[in-house]
Amino acid sequence: MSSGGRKLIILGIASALIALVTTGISLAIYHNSGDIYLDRSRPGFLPDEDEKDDDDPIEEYTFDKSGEFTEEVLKEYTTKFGEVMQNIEEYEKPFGSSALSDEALGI
Amino acid sequence: MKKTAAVLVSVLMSFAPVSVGAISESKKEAISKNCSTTIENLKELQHEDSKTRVYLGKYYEVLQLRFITPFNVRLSENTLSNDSFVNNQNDFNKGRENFMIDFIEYQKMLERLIATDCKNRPAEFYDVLVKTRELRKIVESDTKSIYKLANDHLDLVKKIGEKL
Repeated sequence: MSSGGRKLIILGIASALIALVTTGISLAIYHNSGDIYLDRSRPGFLPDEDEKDDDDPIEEYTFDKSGEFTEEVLKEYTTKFGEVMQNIEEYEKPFGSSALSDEALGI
Repeated sequence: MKKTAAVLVSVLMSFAPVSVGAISESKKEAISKNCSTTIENLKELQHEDSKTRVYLGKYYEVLQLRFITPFNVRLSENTLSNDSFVNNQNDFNKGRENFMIDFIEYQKMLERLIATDCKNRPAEFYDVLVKTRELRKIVESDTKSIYKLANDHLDLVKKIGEKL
């Protein structure tokens, strides 16, 4: 094998090793920082079909940072705020303790 | 700084040995016997929790970025702002941050629980389960606290309305 060929093989192996090491470091950071637990694009945690965004009444609403305060403005604000709160209230007891009870786990 | 400290504590906690407390023989037997079903239930719960976090997190973000923050900016422009609104906004932001940090800690412990050999080491499994329950309670408390802060904001807004 020529000297150029050997160098090409060494370059290929070195590149692969560097890629493996940097990928390993990235995955370690991804896991240890906790980002993995917030990421729903990882296998097994992809959103279900029923989670597709429905028509969201508050989707386009953002309270204007400038302007006067009138009764009308406040009424609209509290109404829209209430709609968000209703969505939050759909989960009656988020992270309730019963899900990890002995009974729930069958032990 | 506090977030970094919390992450460090969480990393250390996830590697710390969990003390094995005494549980009854019948409990150990039940854990070993139902091990595979329990693990399946826990995996399902992990999936559901992830879904709940995304759902609630989305609406918490909406409240902070599209309601509370611009509302307080406008209050300030109209010289109507007061400490109650500012404190409420700061507490709400902090609440959201705590929710995220505590959720990560809880999920790490839940993952450790799922990885614990419940068939052959039921006592250790139960101790990790107890720890997981404690962390889940903290997350639950975070959601209650955020919900209360959002309602407090709404009460403050209504008071402004009475002054107009």
